Amino acid sequence: MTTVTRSADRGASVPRSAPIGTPSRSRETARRREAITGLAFILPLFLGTTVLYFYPILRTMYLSFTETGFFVGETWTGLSQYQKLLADPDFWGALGNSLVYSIVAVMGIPLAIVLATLLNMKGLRFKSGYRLLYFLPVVTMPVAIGMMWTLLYNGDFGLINRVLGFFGMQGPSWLTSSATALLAVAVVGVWSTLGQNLVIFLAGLQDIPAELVEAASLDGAGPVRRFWNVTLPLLSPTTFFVTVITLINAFQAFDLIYVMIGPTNPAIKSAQTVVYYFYSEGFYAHDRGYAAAIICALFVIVLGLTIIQFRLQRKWVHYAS
Amino acid sequence: MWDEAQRPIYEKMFDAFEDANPEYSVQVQVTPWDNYWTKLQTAASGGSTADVFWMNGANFPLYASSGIISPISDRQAESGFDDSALPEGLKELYTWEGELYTLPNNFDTVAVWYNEALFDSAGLPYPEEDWTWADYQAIATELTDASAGVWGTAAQLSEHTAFYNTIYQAGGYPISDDGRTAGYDDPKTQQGLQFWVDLLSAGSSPSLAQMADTDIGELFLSGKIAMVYNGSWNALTFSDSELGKAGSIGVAPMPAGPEGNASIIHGIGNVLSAKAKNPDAAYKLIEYLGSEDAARIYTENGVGFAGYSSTDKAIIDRYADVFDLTPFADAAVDGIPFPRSKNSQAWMDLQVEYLTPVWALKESVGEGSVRLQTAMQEELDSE
Repeated sequence: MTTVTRSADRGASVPRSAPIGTPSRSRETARRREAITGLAFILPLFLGTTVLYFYPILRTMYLSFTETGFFVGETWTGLSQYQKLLADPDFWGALGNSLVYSIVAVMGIPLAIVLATLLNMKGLRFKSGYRLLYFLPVVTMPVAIGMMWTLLYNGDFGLINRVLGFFGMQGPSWLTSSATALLAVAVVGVWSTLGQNLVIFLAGLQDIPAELVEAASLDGAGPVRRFWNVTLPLLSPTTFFVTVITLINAFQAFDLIYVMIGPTNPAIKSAQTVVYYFYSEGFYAHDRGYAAAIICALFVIVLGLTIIQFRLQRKWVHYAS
Repeated sequence: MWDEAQRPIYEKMFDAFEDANPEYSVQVQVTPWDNYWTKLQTAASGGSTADVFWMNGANFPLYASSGIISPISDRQAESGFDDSALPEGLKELYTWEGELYTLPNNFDTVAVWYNEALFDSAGLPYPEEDWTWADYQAIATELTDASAGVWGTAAQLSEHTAFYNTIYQAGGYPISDDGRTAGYDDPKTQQGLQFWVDLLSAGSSPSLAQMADTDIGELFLSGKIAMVYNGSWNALTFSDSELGKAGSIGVAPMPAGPEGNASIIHGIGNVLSAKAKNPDAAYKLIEYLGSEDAARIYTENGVGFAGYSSTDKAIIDRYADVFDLTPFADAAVDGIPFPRSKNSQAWMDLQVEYLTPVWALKESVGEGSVRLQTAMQEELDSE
């Protein structure tokens, strides 16, 4: 973007607090005063963010290089926690679980696109009603969602197995068998974020100029062809955004596993995600140095994945010019 | 404290304390069991625990050795409080390096709670006092009715209420008395574990997965389980339940294994924070809670057994028309203090981890025990 200033406009580039013609020294103090005022406005939030975000992040990174005592005190041990991490089968298991969870979460994205397209149809009644129903899980507390789904999934008395029973099928104990626990929780994860992705895609769809789609139909493209060759490519910036956010959030999955599975569940090893493993090492086993290493490793992994996604976007994301 | 059900009774005790000491007022905070230790550890790291808080035998050594809590022996000597009436085993539980850290005002033991209605409908007599493991297993099989969704028993993966008891009853030990050696390579210990695995293989108990899905207490109170090993602390909740109110809950001592039917004995301790702002006042509260007056309030309101045997009768009478708690009092006589070491939590978690496949019938007792022994001994050696 370029701006052209004519000589008569030059007055507009002087800060409003110093009218044209003010001697340069008071303009300096005026500018400084404005800068200080600006700083004063952001100071509360900045202080809060530093104390509650930056300092804990730096301290956690520091702790990952130490061996911590039960309550206070730590000794510097260099990379030993990371070496322990690489050799720890539970960590790799948790990483694998996080990966599976993320893959399921990403599979929820096409579903959101399809639903958004359907909801965007002209002449659909109760559109707001559908949007409300899909969005409700997003604004419900994860703990409440977890508790309700735990009841639904209960092996002997849950609603899901009752319904399966009507069709003569014996449902497994969803949350306590190693084979199904992680997938069961991942499904709930997808269900709870579907509404959010749906709303974002709806906004993205509405950004697509209607003339392009009309032009395509005039050229003889059927609805599927229109969707695939016109709508989807134009939706790709939104899709990219949703994919990046979904992957980051899926790798950080914790609350649902904590509420629905928990440490005394025999399936915990096949369902714990990296963040859950971090919590279990840090707060159940009191090993905060190791927990710090776990979470720093996750940070690096998620950062790497996001960078890869940003690099790849050149291949498939079309920005409307 | 972690038990919301006990809060009203503790508040009664606090009221009595405040009447006797009008210059003090006590505020109480309840954190549910699931979060209690996590929250306590965080608070302890930051030096902001309550002045007096609940402690259990398993976690006590960690907090005492790290200096988070203070011994009370000095203050007790000054005030001249006589604790000779309190059970030795409990005082031992809360002694570290020769110093006593609390006056245990309660104890709990383990016995068998059973559903009288299920026994009646099967036409079986109620358990005898001198019944054995074999009797228990036979009765459990008879009372299991798959079509009605009823099991004879629940073989929980719980150390306190299940396998520690049977391990000692078989003559084994989970950990040596000095807390340095794990005992899972002892065949007698493994026999104690086998008792439960036999019940699981015979189908007399819900599977591990089913028990993880639905709380055992709930299953028992809904009439789905005929007999369950559990602690005396359930008296209050069980008596309030539908099953309890119908008078269908009975208590029997645990069946005897090869070396008797010993129970684990344990008690909650009120400990003094090392960072308490007013330690003298806090000690006074601990002393009051450990006194016979408080014990009387405790037992008369049916919370559980208090440290003073004189009050045993009070609690047994309190529940006399619902169930007979005498087996719990009897079990306290030879009760074995809850086994622990400096950092019990670490290897208690290992027990759950390595015994899970055994309880899930994926590994034999022998295999699981060997692996647990190695892991646990490694953990103990690093303490």
